[in-house]
Amino acid sequence: MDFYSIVEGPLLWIVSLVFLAGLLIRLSFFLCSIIISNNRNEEKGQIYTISTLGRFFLPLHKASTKKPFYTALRYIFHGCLFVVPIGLSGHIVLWTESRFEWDWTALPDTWADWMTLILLGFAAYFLVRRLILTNLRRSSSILDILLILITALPFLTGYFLAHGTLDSMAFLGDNMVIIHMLSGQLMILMALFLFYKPRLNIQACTGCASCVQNCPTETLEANDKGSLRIFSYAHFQCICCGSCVSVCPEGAAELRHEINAKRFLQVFSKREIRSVELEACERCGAYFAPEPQMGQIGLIFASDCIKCCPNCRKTKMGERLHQMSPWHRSPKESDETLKTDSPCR
Amino acid sequence: MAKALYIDYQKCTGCRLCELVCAVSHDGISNPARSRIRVIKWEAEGLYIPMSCQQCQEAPCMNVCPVKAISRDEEMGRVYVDYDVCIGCRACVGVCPFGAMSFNTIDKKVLKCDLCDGDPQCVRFCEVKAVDFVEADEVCILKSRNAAERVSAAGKEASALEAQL
Repeated sequence: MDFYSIVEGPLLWIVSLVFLAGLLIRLSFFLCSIIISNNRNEEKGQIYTISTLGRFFLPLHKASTKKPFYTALRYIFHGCLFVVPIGLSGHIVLWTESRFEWDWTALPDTWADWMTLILLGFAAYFLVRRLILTNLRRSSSILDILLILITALPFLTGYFLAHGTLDSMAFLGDNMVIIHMLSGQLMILMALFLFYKPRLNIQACTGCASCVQNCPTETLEANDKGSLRIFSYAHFQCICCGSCVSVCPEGAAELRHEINAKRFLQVFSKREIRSVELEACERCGAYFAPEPQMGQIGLIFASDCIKCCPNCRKTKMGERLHQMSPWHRSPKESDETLKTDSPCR
Repeated sequence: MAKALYIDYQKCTGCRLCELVCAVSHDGISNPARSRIRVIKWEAEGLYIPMSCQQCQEAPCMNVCPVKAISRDEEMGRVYVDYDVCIGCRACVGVCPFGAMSFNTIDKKVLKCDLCDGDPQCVRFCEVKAVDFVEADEVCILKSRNAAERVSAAGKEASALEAQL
């Protein structure tokens, strides 16, 4: 048995079965984590949560309309990604010849050609964009680039196979089919370990936690620990609804693909994605609001009043009111009592 | 003409019934932490000051809101939060100089006095009427009348003392 027949036969079976089993496992993990953690949206219920599943993909979703051009590209790319392998006449012939004898209407070959070219063009664009834009380059790992490359590879080799462009080349010409099949199988396996990862842009994020308040599945969480507000997320719970992206007033939230095989087994673990310093109250020292947000508020409403926590503000205003009133006798004496006795809840 | 809360803290007994009533009527929970009106106490002085939203004309919370969920309702004379638009960023809580807004982590909503749509329950239950609901343009008249009464009372007291001497 040579390598070709292994790739064509047993390996294909293994990959497909692993993929199907993995999908089922992921689905059950996802449902588990949603059922366990869904107590936030009692008002709207679990049906609401499930209805938000993949809402990010709706073309008129608020998060999508924020970047219309990029969204359109993303749509076309993913559309081609699914339609071409399923509708290609060459693939359908294989299905018909197989033991299943399945058959369906094929995509016209010229269409398939053009869609493949469009997909490859967009993949190149995404790759170049990721490498050129400084912001993106810094925040993406090698896996993000590999993701694009692995997705594009079966299409590239498939295109060459269909047209026989590189058949004259010695090694590539002989092994193109194997490369095509292997990369396709790799892509399928990779899809299994593909998660969505919410990202908060450090420069833009003010730490207001609107994304956390609006997350329907409790994927994102914010915990105030001492002087820090820590944002964490649970990868299995993210359903890519895009609420965080659409709600973020600063446009700091993003949803990204992430390949991570380890994550698959860490079902209920949470991962920290950002921590923000909290501002301390001038009077009582309690931490009350994230520093970047208070800085931003200071631009709109600059006042000494906002340097202490809401409770101390009430106390302060009450004191001021009392000091101004005609019943405020012996100011010095009561000033002291006011200070020592000031309640601060 | 819009009505406003008129707080005469000299009358306040510090019973904190308004806090409970506010929380119950809005959220159905008897928890003062969920109240829109809070009584600040200085027990040693016997000083109790109910603090609530001032319904500012040029409200900082309105200006700071990134999604414009807070607007002025001139008819009711209040600053109103549209909870369908609110995203829960808490910028209004951070900016309010009176500390009148707070955040409820259970419903993920900000708390703010909405004058109970024109029938403030704190006023209804305040026995001494330390919190009263009056026409907005009457507030200054009431205040000056109170001051005048006090001045005349003080004058009478002084003359009575003089007569005693």
